[in-house]
Amino acid sequence: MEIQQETCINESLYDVLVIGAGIAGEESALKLADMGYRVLLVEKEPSIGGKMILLSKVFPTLDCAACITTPKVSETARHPNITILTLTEVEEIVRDTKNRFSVTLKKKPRYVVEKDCTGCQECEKACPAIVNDQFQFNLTARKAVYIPFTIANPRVALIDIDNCLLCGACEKACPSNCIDFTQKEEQLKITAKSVIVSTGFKLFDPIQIERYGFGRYKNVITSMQMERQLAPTRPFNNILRPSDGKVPDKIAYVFCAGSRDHTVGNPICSQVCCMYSTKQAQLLMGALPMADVSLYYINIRAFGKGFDEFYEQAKDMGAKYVKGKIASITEKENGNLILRYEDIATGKVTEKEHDLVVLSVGILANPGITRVFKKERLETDALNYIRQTDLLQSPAITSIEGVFAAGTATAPMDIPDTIMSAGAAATETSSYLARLS
Amino acid sequence: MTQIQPELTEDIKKYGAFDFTACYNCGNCTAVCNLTEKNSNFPRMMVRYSMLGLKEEILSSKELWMCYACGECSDTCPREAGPGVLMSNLRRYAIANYEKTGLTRLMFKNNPFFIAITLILAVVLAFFLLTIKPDTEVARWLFRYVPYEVLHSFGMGAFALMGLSAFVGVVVMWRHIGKEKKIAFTGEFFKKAVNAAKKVIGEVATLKRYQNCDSDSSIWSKKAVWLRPWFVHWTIMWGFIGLLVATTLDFIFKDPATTIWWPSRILGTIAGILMVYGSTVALNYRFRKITKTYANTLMADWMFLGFLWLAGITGFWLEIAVAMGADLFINHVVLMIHIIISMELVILFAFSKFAHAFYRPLALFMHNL
Repeated sequence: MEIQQETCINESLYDVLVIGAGIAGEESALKLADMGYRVLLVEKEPSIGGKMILLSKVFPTLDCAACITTPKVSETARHPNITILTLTEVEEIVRDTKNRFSVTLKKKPRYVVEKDCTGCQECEKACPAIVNDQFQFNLTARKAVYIPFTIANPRVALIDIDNCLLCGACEKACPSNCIDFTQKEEQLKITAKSVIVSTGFKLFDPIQIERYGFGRYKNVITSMQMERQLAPTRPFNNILRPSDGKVPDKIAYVFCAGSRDHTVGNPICSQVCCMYSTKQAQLLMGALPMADVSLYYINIRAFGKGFDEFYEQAKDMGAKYVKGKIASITEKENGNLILRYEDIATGKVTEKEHDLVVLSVGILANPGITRVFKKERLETDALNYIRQTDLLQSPAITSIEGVFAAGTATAPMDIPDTIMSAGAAATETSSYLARLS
Repeated sequence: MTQIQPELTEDIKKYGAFDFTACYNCGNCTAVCNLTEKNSNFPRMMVRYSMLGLKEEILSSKELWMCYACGECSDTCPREAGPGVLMSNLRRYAIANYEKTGLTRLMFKNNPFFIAITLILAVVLAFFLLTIKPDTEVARWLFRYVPYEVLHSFGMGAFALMGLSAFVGVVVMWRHIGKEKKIAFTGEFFKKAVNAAKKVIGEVATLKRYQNCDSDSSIWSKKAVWLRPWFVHWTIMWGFIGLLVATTLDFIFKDPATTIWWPSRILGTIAGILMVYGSTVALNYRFRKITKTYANTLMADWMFLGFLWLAGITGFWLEIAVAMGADLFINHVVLMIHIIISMELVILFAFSKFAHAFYRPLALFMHNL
């Protein structure tokens, strides 16, 4: 793979540049590579896979997310027509005179020679610096030199230089001598005939909603933190609440935390929270058979194929759905939380105690990429998603000819819709490339 | 029988424009409110009533008057539907409907009319004041056509109309809420009434429920007590009551006391300071629009607060002028303004925002029955 990567970089002409290697980017890249186009896939994180690779299971089939996504990740990684650059961000994209895009990339140093690392984790054992693990959403800690997560691809270490003590312990411990502190940030210039933007979404940070106490109350966590606790590669091998490590038995879900809410600037539905919360509720009832799970919602939006049946199934399993938006959360001395809401069914203000609260956080646009397009403007819509200029013709068409969009870069959507959107972007790109030649 | 009137939504909006129909019934407003109780759930209930046009339900809601408009529901409403603004809106709507002459309705819905009636009243009052001394030019001219007594009885008539309207308003409100609450005048009633009256007096004295509005998450919890809305309201209310008592005492003793140490004058001074302080702070908040509640200030609010402030300021001017014994022309003009403003406040008592001074205690009384 590495050899091929180097030759490709030297040649530096690609049919397609795909920005973002989540499921949308991978799917588009694979489809185009299978058609014979040469694809450069750029990812700013140290591993490809995006957010799906971190999930527990998918709704409504309850398939293991990792089991579905890792084959796709591996296929992407070893496809002869795909070149992957991790820890790389796009700096500038300008159309040149030959109707191609000149692309400037910034590759951050890994401080580990990628092709020599065996993933043995000896460096991790030796490293004395401990920091929050962002891939476990701060549930646990990692070392300053680390492999992002168990099923990362490429499964090689990197050094988080901001937290590194520069003690050199990893260098001594490494059996293959691949630690290299002399690596520098590189600027790469390539040319691409077309671009697919698959930069995904950002999660809503619930610290904005002070009334929910996230960040102040230890036992208020996000749905992503719960997702990690339920995943096959989960950190605790159990469900534990953060304040005292107790196994919770009265769990509450707060729906629409940061969605359908004008006060946080995100008035739209995030499309997935109802269903992922329903999925987590089912998994929790499996993991903790004695636990009560209550889900506080405004409206249940189970609109997709099999979704409503999935919702009914959760209710049949014993999940308690309560109509009423949580207005405020207060913490008791023992770490339990009091949720205050109006029970819409009775019209009465009610307070309920729970020992763990999960905020079903919403999806926000991730529009940073629009800044790299020079001369031409990649337009966004009112909520900063990439504007689909001709939605009826194709969901992938953007305001720039030759630049297409895939997945949640265009709107909040679930995994099946993302796959469809990525397929549309690949089709649109191949037809554009055919027209170009 | 419950009658649904969708067109009522449009009518309600005329009492202060905003879009409460954006509501998606999440209940956030009811639950963030610190004043909701087991048997009084608002504001979502009021939003539902307004959207369906349930006029009778709105008019028979004591809940309308349980709210002190802290605005937290409006600030946190995910649909920006302004539930707290709607509550104030519906209070105006209720005042206009309890008051049977239709004057209040016109004033609340129509700003030019409101200003016009205030100005006309000011001119009429000025005219009266200029004719009190029968040897003035105006008086001599007028009394040739109309006897002084007729003019005098016109004034009395205006006061009587105000008093009657207030009384009718109270009766109408009692009948609406009483029907809803099914109040029966049995032997128990008297005991309950005494109890309820005690609670109302306690609330008026301390504004204890209003104090609950400064929840931990509101901006007020971080501010000094004397800057919080309940205290500002308390100063305006007790300032006004104090001034009313002081003025009445002055009137009874037939002496607009020249010495500042006269007990009624001391009361007047203290009460005046309270009222000027309160109305100044309240006007300041409304000018600066520091919360959504204050940003949503209508003509009725400006007029009411502005009049209280002017009455207080001119009162102090006069007190100083009298103490200094300065017999200047400007002081006579200020006296004129002071009397006109004060009289307007009294005459429009039943027809303006001021009417909440008797509707709110009555609603609280009925709530506690």
